[in-house]
Amino acid sequence: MAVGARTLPSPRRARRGLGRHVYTLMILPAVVTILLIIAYPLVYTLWMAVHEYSMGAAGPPPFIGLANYRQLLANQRFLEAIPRTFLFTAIGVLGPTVLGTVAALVFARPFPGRGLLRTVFSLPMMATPVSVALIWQMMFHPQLGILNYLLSLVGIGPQPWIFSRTSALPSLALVETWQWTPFVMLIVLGGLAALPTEPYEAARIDGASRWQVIRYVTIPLVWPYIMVAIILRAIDALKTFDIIYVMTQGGPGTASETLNIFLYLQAFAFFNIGFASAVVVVYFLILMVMSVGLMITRQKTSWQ
Amino acid sequence: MQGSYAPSRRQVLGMGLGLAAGSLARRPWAQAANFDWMQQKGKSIVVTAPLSPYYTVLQKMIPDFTKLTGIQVEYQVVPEQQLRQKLTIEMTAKSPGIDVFASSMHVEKILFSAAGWYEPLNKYLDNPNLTPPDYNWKDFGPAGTYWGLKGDGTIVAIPMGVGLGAYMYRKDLYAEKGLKPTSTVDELIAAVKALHKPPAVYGYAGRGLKNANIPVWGCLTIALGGDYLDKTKTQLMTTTPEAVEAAKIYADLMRNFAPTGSIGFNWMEAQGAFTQGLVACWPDSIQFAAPFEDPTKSKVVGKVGYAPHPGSAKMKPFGGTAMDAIALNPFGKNKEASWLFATWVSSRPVHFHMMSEGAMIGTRTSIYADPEFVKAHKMPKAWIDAVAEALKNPRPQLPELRDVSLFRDTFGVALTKMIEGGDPKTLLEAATKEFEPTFQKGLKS
Repeated sequence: MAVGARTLPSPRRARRGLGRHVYTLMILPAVVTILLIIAYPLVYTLWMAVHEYSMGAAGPPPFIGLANYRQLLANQRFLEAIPRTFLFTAIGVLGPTVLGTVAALVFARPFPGRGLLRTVFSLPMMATPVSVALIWQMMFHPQLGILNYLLSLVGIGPQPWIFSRTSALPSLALVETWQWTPFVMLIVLGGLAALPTEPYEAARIDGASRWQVIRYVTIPLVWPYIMVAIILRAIDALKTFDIIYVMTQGGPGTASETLNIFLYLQAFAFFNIGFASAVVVVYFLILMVMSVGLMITRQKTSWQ
Repeated sequence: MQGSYAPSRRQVLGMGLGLAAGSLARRPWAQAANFDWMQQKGKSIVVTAPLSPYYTVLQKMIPDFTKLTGIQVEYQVVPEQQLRQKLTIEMTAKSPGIDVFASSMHVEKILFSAAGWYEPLNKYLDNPNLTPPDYNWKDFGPAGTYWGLKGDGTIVAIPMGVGLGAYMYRKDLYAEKGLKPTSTVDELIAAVKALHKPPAVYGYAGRGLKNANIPVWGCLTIALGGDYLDKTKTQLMTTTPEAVEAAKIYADLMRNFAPTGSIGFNWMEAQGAFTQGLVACWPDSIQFAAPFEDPTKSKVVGKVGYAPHPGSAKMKPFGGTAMDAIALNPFGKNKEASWLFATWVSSRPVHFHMMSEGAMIGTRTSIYADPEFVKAHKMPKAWIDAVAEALKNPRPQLPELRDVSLFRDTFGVALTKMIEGGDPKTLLEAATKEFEPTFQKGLKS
């Protein structure tokens, strides 16, 4: 052995000695950061939810136990907002998923101008939601909007769109569908590009029609990608705020008031921070349950 | 060439500087010289204001303030809704981060006053070393001073622009039908019925969207002799015969004489319909009239009449006011410098410029009597006269209570249900019952 050369401690010795603490120290910044960014706001929200916390009130907020939650369960607007949120989410997932998948199947086949059209088709997704909302708001105007003008050209009478209790939510979901169909298309398009060619060759040899190939080969193979799109879209649609707030502020009346809008009003218009925190907790639980459910479904549909 | 004049580069530069200096000296918002504007020289202040045409005009004038006072200004522009949230959060934290802020008095006055979030201004106003001699607080008139004052005489904010509920109508259509100018609610209803010829022209336009619809109903209630609160401001008056009658009228006009979809209209949609000649009568804030007289946007240029909001036998025509004011942060560190900014921004010359160039409806009464103002303003004289007239009888278009946003939401939802056919009395009683505990809590605070 050369003079001055040192032997490295064995891994077992390192774990027993200083090395073990070094590993702990190395992950400490990440743990602290996560605690500060995620855990602290969560705990603080839980704390506020059990206090009568209102901005501008004098003195410290009094502890009120579960009163905010009880008030929430008796709040008609909150209870109505839950199914409304799910309905909006369902349309906002179903529309883009169906149309996005069809668009992906169309754009997966080569044809002249495909690149340009694919780019144009993707543009809505890149636009700022607030700008999208303002433009659609103008287009929806019952007297001055272009949509009713276009309908009049084909003999259909004017529609109230977002300016009616019955059609507000579907109209908002229409905007959501318009904006996010390209998102689903891009995911499914990526999936289609990664599919193996052998099943298609086998289907052709077996004499399958084009529709049968799509129905029995393409869709099953690309389904895991569609599921990814559905999960991401569902989480996003459930959280939609900007287009609803800008276009209807939850109205007419409360016709388009989803949980997000309800929560926003409580927190930032009425400054009922304690009550709003209780809404956040319930909303968070709904999101968690839904996300976990969708994740499990995705696991079951992935290729084995 | 004989006799030609060829200035040197230095001469041209000198002339340019001379012209620039001359134009600065001639600025119409120049201040009187008999006051020490430089007393806070070297200080820096942070000013926060919403995005609006007249604050945009103000923003361009800030370098002149710095030149006049030597005070540096960091000017922050925040959209109105977000500004309200930002202010509430900053004040809750007792943050000195903002020195001067624009406050929506019709929303924030009670909440901010109760919480001690306005710096009392009397001591500054009464100090001749801090307030120019020509400032004249009383010039703000009843509309301005009302919103800037607390009930105990404390001045909490300096009036800037007022939202002014008034009446806009198609005078050409009035003339065709031989209708006389409207001064009562009954005449308004008669005009709406006479001029309603859909889909070419709808008799009426109004805001149906919850929250936005409150001032429309509120102004009708005031017009019939009612109000949101009693005189002591400790009792809701939202189920009185006047309030119920106003709700009936509002719902009937919206359901039967307003454009399809009005239940979801905010003022922008109603403004659009009026600008395109689709509406005959529109009682709403008169500042929304600006596009009517713009030939590039409007089909009704020169055809619009302006008047104060119609009244009744119990109330003469009036202006429904909502106030935007300038206030000082009580937790701020540069209060004298901030006060100098507040006096400068609310001085007559600066107000004159913001009113004529930025379409601000200021409340300094002397400006409306100034022929130069009529000349400088882009709107017709009839509009200016209507504003001046409405400001003579100002009435708050929103209730003065702490939780005004919740009030607007609760009663706003009830009003939309009335448009859909719900019974006004029942719905107002239910909304009052729902809001009463919050109102009582606000009173205690």
